[in-house]
Amino acid sequence: MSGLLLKDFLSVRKQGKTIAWVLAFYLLFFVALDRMGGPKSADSMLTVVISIVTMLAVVLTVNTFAYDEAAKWDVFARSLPVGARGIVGARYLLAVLYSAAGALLALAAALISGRGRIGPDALAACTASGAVPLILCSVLIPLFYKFGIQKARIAVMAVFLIPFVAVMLLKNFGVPVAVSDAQVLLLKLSPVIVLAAVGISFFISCRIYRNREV
Amino acid sequence: MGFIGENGAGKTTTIKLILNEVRRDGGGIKIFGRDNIRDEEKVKEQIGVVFDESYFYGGLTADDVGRILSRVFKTWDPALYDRYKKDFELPRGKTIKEYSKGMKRKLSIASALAHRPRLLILDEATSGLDPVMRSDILDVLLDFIQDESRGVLFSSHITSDLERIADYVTFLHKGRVVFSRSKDDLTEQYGIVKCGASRFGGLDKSGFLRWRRGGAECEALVADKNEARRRYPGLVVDGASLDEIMLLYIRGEKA
Repeated sequence: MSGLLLKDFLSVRKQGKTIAWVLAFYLLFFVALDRMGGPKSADSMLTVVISIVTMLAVVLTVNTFAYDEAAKWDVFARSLPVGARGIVGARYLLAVLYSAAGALLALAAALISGRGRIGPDALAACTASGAVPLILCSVLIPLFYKFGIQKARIAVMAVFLIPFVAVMLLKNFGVPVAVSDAQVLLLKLSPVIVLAAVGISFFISCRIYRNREV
Repeated sequence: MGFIGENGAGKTTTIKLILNEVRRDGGGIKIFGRDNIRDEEKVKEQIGVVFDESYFYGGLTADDVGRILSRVFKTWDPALYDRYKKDFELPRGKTIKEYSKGMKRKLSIASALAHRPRLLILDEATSGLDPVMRSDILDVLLDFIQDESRGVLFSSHITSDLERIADYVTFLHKGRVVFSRSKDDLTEQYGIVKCGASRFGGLDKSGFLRWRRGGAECEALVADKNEARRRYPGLVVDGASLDEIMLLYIRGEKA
């Protein structure tokens, strides 16, 4: 499985350098804003950083499917002694690693913003930046295995748009979208929810992958 | 083992079935005495596969491929891989997308051999390559099978390649095995009886495996050319190449 994971990392090596530069730029920008504009500017910048790392974790995982499909990698991968669980498992592990890296970056930004301290809101946002990509990938990965990246593109748009549209609608109908008790409970339960989502999704993906012909 | 048959005969499907890449409707496959699905990983640990195209992402280098596969195969031999890279003159710095078709194929062969497989499966591995490149690849295969505990299943349209290296030939037609025999038996025993169309009509055709009329001349495939020479004195009986055998089986009529 580590070989497949390495393949995915090496495949995005070039792209990774560009992303690292963009992230470094945002982090510098973030620190500069914090120094000049004070906590309010830094808070809004923190939101930007968290949004970026959340999106990146999903996009980078999605991209590996695109690379695999373009190279017809699965024909070769299936000839290797790794089994469906190994191939699918490596992809989930990749999503976990990207999400964890995103959460750590968000945490670093929150620590800078809070001068070494983290408030409950910032901590919740950092947790969400690790949990949200995993939930999204849990929805997307089985779809990619079932339909391929081209056909499942619409699903990618949907997973990004549906939460956004839902929040906008709630706002329009006057439903409060500020942190409520229910949302706090949801955040506390998030490790269990994420674990369950990833586990169920992995199980479904393995079944799809085993039955898929390449 | 050379694996021949026309397009759509089922050669690639057979290979994909062995590799569990397509679902089987029935039957079973045993490799090294093991079931290919139940013991999939153990079986695949001892198989090397070369396809007709490269399935590595174009941004990777030959060194990257080595680093990846060394983590996949327990028996990966980095020194052997380096030797193949050197022998095949695979450039270190170049990415796979910069490789020629022949170089990509050589990389596939190097990566399929470096874990010292017992069985090498090649699916049209020499198709689309120039004669020099094909000859280089065949030399590597000949070297590989010097160790008699190893085997090669070589699916190819280029029957001259199989005539050079195969010990056995399996001919597939419409998903069924027509024959699976020693290549020497085929090329030494099979023959083509040739005569004019007018004379052909009066011949006893019970000894013909297949026959074919082409304008004024007819050709018939026989399983024993010496026997045919005795049976049809005065007719031309030539040796049969794999191409001719395949063509007559596919296009020919039978009694």
